[in-house]
Amino acid sequence: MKVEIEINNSPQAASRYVTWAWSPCRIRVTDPAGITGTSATVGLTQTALGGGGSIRFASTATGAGSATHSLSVPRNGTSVSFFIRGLTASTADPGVQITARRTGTTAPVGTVSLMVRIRKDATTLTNGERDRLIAALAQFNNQGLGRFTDFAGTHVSAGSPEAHGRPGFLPWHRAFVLDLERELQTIDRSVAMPYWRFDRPAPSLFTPQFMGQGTFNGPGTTPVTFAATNPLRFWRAGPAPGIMRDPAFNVNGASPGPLSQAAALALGNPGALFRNFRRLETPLPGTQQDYHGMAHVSFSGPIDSIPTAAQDPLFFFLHCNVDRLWAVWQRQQGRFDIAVAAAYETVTPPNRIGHNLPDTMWPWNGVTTPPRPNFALGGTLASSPCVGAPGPKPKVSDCFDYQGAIKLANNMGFSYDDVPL
Amino acid sequence: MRKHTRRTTATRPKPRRAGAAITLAGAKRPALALQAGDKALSQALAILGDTDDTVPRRMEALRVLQAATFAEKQFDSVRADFKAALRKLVHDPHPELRQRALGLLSRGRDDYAQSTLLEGLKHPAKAVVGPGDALSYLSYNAHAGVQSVARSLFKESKDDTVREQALRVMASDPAARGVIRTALANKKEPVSIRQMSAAALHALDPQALQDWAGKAVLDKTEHEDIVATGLTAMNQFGDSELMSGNAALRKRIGEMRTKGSGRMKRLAKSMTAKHKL
Repeated sequence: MKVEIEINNSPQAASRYVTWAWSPCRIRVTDPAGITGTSATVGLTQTALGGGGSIRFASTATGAGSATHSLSVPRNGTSVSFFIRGLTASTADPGVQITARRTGTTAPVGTVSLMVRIRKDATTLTNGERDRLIAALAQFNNQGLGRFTDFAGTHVSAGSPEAHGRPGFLPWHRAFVLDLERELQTIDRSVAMPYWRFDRPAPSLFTPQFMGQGTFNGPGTTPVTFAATNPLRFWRAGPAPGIMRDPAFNVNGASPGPLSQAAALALGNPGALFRNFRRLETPLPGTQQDYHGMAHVSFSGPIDSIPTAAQDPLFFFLHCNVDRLWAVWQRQQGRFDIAVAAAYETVTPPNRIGHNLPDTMWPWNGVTTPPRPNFALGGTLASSPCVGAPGPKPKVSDCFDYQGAIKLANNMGFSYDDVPL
Repeated sequence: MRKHTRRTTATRPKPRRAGAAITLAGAKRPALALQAGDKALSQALAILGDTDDTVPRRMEALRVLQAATFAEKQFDSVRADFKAALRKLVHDPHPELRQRALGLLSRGRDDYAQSTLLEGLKHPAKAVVGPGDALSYLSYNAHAGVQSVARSLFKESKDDTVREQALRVMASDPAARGVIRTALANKKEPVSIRQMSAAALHALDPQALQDWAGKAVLDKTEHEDIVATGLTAMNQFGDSELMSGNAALRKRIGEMRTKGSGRMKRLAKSMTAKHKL
């Protein structure tokens, strides 16, 4: 007897990546030799491989799940569905092997390996995770000739009204970060976008081995220092090579500009309203604090200005953290469901186009007629071999239920290490 | 347009002692005592433009305004005044503020900043910042006029910081390819100049960098940092088929796997695995 196990309902190796969200799987008999009745009972177990991590099984996409699973598989090859989700994250690919054994026997009748691929705090990455990430970034940038230029060229002044200063700020940047993450995963499937917790010290991030070392309180005129072996030393996202990024804070401590996580989460009060929470974008009138803008201006260099911010790959770590905070708030307040009014800011008359729940988002929609910008770089949002959401031309409304907590099909294929399902 | 930058009794902040500070996330920043509501940005602009105020307070005001630029629509009421204030800061007595203003204006490809910087490179007596910084700011919009100045400075300057910045500008200048290749191959040049030359040549002519790297890796008299730079370029961007067909390279990489520093061993092992050498 032999069985085939499909992760995310796909036979492709590229689909064998899971998050904290429930992933649909199926198993079917491919060789019925030895099955005497119409079906056989099979037990699924898991073994941690080099990349580590662990999963949970379940018959339906609910509950906590269990470490093992048993199911009856028809002899005629009909697939039987089950679900898995990540319990602890892998650090490399593959991380977990699922082994199928016929009940009462020890010989495996089928195996499949997978990775619990989770977005993590950049300071917690292993050297291997770090090196794979920067190699993928460098390759995608390809000395300024690669597709990264589309990302740098999208987050510019002309595109700014699509992404800033209005309710769509958070959904738009969620899609933007995801788009780059998926592009990197076409280079190295094991990569997930890390986040920079800018309200905490992150000294290991600003080193020659990782994102480069700038000069404390420097003017942002000389490129950060990279180790000779760091491929980011060939980075080019503007006319000239190199990344300028001098911190206005001692990188052994946290940047003093951004609010603490607790204070930023409290912005949603009173009422746990999205329209209050999104004030994290820029300084509150009369204050010197916010969560997002102050992180950008913690440096002198391209990242401090809208027209050039996305030229610096750190931009994506920064925005991954802003997105993580939104995810934390969504979970705390139960704001994944767009049917809940407080989950978003819907007003009359409507927000500017691109900022209402039914609106498609630029540039992925390809619309270049006013009031949209007259260009749209990069085409549609990169697809995933693991999940279908948010689709090639995402709407604002597609970017809320990112782990499929409300509807499994909404799963966007990413999770944060500190935000459970 | 200028009414927001002109101080009035109503908008002028109360004088504060120089050391006044607020504690944010465990670190101290100057407190600006901004008013709540719409006037906060105008007030920050007034502090920024006040040459009698302290530099830390003015820098803090600049940070608040910079962060507010991300607000898009809400910032529109002061956007023009902010640009005017930055242009004024280009000539501020304090170099930190001049540098910050030039950086922000240059990233927005501001004509005034660019002409001021170019004028300063041609006539140093008029320079508002040093030539290295000026080239760095100009690199955000490196057109032909900037590139020709960069080529001259690379040839004439004795300051390696200036020469590195010139190389960055030259990275988008096809006419500079020969100069960059020569600098990269010249073992008398400082390592930092040669590494910047590698990045510049990579941007301008990736194959030329690969050709150079193939030779540098085989040269046992080369500086280890230069060999590591060449290996990194080959590892990340090189053609696996060409490399695996190069017997001399395979042999050299094989030697590096067992001899030399830890980083070279790691690089050699990485190359072996990735390119099946």
